Amino acid sequence: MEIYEYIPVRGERLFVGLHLPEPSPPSPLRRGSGQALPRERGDRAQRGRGEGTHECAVIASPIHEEKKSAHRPLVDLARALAGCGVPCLRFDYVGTGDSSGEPAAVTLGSMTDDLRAAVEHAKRVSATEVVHLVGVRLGADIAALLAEEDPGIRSIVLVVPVVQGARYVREMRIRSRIRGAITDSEGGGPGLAPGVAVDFDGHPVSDEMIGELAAHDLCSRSARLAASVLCLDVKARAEPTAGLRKLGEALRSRGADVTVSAVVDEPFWNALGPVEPRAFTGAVVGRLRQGCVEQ
Amino acid sequence: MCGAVTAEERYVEFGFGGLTMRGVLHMPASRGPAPVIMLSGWGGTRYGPNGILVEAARVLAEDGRAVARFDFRGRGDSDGAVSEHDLKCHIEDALAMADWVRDHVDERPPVLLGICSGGEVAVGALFSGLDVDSVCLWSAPVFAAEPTAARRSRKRLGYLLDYGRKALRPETWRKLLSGRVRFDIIRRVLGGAGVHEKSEGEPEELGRSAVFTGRCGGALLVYGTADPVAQEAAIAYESLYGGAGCGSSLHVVEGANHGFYGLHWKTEVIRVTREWLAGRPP
Repeated sequence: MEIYEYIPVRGERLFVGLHLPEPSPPSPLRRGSGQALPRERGDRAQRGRGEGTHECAVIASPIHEEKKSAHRPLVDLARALAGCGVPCLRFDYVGTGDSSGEPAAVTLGSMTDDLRAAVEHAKRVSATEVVHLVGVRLGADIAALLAEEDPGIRSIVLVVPVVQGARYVREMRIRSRIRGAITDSEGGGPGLAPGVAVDFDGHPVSDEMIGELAAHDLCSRSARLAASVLCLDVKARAEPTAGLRKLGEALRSRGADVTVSAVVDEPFWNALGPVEPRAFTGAVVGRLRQGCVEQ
Repeated sequence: MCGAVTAEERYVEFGFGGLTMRGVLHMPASRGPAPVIMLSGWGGTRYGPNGILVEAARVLAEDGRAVARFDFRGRGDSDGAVSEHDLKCHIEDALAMADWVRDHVDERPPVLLGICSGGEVAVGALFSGLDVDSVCLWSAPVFAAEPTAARRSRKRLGYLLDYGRKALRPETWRKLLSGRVRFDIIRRVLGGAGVHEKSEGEPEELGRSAVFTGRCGGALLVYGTADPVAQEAAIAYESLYGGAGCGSSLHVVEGANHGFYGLHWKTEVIRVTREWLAGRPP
């Protein structure tokens, strides 16, 4: 069963999708009948509570065009987790997707607030205090930041985290330049609204976000990290990059139980067409199932 | 124009062929012009590239239009396997979306707004006999085009020539050399023209004598000048709609690529579409 709804966050509406372990009821509808399947929100939420689950997962997606490419693989991941008994929540950051809010107002701070709200919501509807986070790209960095402050976060899976925000900013600028070289415009220039620093593939990125990213470095943080961590690379060779190993060392020095590994699969957040990164999905599901058994 | 929500937005779903199709409905407070059904690209979601469908839906809802954005089966949040679908399936999905909108939102013929392959789906719905108010095709390739070697090479050649010409400019080199050249990024910037292999039983490619059976009040065609599918497709669709007597209006976005990956390109596409729809008879 899947429940989609909006929850209030900072005066905005956060679009969330909850994937519950219970199998979906078969649809009796035939092609073209086009009937809605009315479901009462209260009933749905109640059905999601306390049905033998003692933990849940929350997925922190990437943003910008990486989010678009990663969307379906993360839906498939959420369904796979629910299929093996782990309720899983996905959401759109405020200012992105189907959530309300201004795209230009998205910052690392707002993304962390949204993830925090999503985690609290997931705990409520799953009737558990134990949460596993799965973050992809910038979402992984956000997951690591939130895990510093929330002891209820039992484990985090960091999928190709950005680690250094300055690199992400550099990629934005390079992409903008390449677009300018190939087409006739960098998509920026005089049309940018006040406070918008970069036109990143048609997404406005604010001065504030650029500043936060420039200061962001997961390797240089020092707060204690109690969660167990999987740093996961997704690439053509089953060998984690040196950068990911370095992050693993940095997190270990903060008290975390860290595993660094790689799966051979397509970097789905950069894919142009539909992809099914099964090795990635299998690796994350395996990790979370293992974590569940150990508890 | 961007993230402002002025109409009610709610999650909606319906069952179809044993699958659940999921989407969002933008519902204005009072009944306005004909509703809009948005159709995403081949590998995309109901958000569209750089969120263009969400932004366009919110803008059109400001004008009093109900707007439905569903994910095709195997895409976004809808049920279905990722790899098992083709243009024919997506046309069936669009017809089911139209049924749902007619039964639950507004009985009037809808506007079909499709981006990239979603534009092909809109055309396919007309060939299937769906009556529509009008269609808006953004970067729509030729309907059911065979992925011939000539087309593929034209696409690649067009980009390479353009890239090569500009690469000779000193300022281009300065720009590129100021950062690391990332070919994965180049591929992303260049690509995404919605080319996909055809499977068994897919519709035939749009021919000169093709006539659709659904009623259509007009067509808006929007293409970027840096989109390699633009020229051939615009000619084909102007011929198709002209032949059907409903007329078409072509708007070219200077410099834009296939996915309108720039804020001012995106803004122009939405503005032109809004104005074109506003100028249509109620």
